[in-house]
Amino acid sequence: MLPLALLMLAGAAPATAPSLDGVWLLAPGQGPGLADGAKTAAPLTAEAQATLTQRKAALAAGKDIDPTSKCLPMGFPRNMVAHFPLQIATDARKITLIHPSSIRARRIFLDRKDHDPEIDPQFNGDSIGHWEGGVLVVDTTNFKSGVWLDGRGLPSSEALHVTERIRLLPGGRTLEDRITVADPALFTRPWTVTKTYGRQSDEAVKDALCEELSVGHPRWAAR
Amino acid sequence: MNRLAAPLALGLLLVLGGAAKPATPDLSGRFFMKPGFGQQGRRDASLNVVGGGGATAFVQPPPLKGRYADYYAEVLESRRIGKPINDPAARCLPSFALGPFANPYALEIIQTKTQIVFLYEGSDRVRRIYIDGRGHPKHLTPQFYGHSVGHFEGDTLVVDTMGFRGDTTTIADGASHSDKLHATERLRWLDGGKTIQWDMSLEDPQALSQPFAMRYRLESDPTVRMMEYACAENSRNVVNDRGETTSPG
Repeated sequence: MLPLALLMLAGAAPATAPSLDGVWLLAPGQGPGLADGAKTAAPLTAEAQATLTQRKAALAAGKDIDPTSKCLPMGFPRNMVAHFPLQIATDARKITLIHPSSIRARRIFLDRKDHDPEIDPQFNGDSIGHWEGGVLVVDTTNFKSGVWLDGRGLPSSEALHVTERIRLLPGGRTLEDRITVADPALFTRPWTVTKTYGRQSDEAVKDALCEELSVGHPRWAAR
Repeated sequence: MNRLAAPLALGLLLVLGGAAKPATPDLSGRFFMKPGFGQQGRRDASLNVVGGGGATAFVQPPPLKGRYADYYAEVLESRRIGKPINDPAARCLPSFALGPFANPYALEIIQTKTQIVFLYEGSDRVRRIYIDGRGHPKHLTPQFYGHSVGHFEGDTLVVDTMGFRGDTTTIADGASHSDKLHATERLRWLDGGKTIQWDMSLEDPQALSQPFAMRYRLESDPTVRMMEYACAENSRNVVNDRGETTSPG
């Protein structure tokens, strides 16, 4: 048992693992679409392309069909291509990515090797990770349906499978996330995009409440 | 011991050593409101416990003054006649100024070198307490939960919070506060970290005639999974044609 325990501890936090902790902001031109700034276009299936075309036409016609307009969560991976400060906080068993808007926390569990079969589908899915040298390798499944994959209307499904390779670039001021999305119903092949994030002041995270902007706050003093 | 195992063993020693003798208490974990406190149970008359929703009253009411007292009387009357006002949570907005308490949801605490992060499952809220010695910024951007700095005094985390938004959140059940609200919290770890005793003292020269104190207790539950909470989904139990509903499970 001891060697296993040693390996588990090593997998959770090897001495070489860098700290990703801090607040990060997506570099300009890389969102809100996954394809924004990417080298390759999304290899969409005909069905997915039809859905995307339909959504783009509706948006162009002024129809507000984006689920986030109703304050529904962006979900992952869309929240990785939003221009909001993103906080990363590490503890003994996981790395937590905290977004300013709902659903705020995405937990990348380092202390289990398998996805949790008992939880319902999630906006952020179920993420497990391990370190390969200085790279955090993350595997995410168990997504809710009806969520947009990005801010430009790419469709998503419950079969979505996302893998990531997250690392600090030399100098420690830039975070890189190589995101690979796979879903046979949506993509003809797995598609990889690389996003970078610049380090911000750790107090750059502020309240961002969709509900307040949408419905107004009950400011009783002004009634 | 082979070449791989040696550094691993060293790492294990460091991990175990770090856990056994932390420089400061490590507050990380997942907690629930202790039964008997808040909405989940009966109030303890020796303490003063607030509720997050309309159903809970105070053991000792907040010592409000001026228009804040007048407005709180309106809030209580609105509930009496069945048309409640000033319940921000009903609009998916932050209610209690120091985070969602007195509810049946979990609180996760993450402690890093520079801050303690409270991740509230209920209402999906976040609070941050900076523990690296910094003070409040000279120019504070008002926030629902204010700006919090903390330090340890033995096994107690002492937190100072200011920079709240006035007339938004409540200092308790439906009672509003001004942007001059100032909170002092003392979080004491009891029973080897299984229990948090959470004392709060609120001062507000515009809304309160004297400090308003409350105490909560939270219990550790390492088995809990933190679930997603999307208020905008407007999840609700099915109501039948007689207006009855049941709680699933």
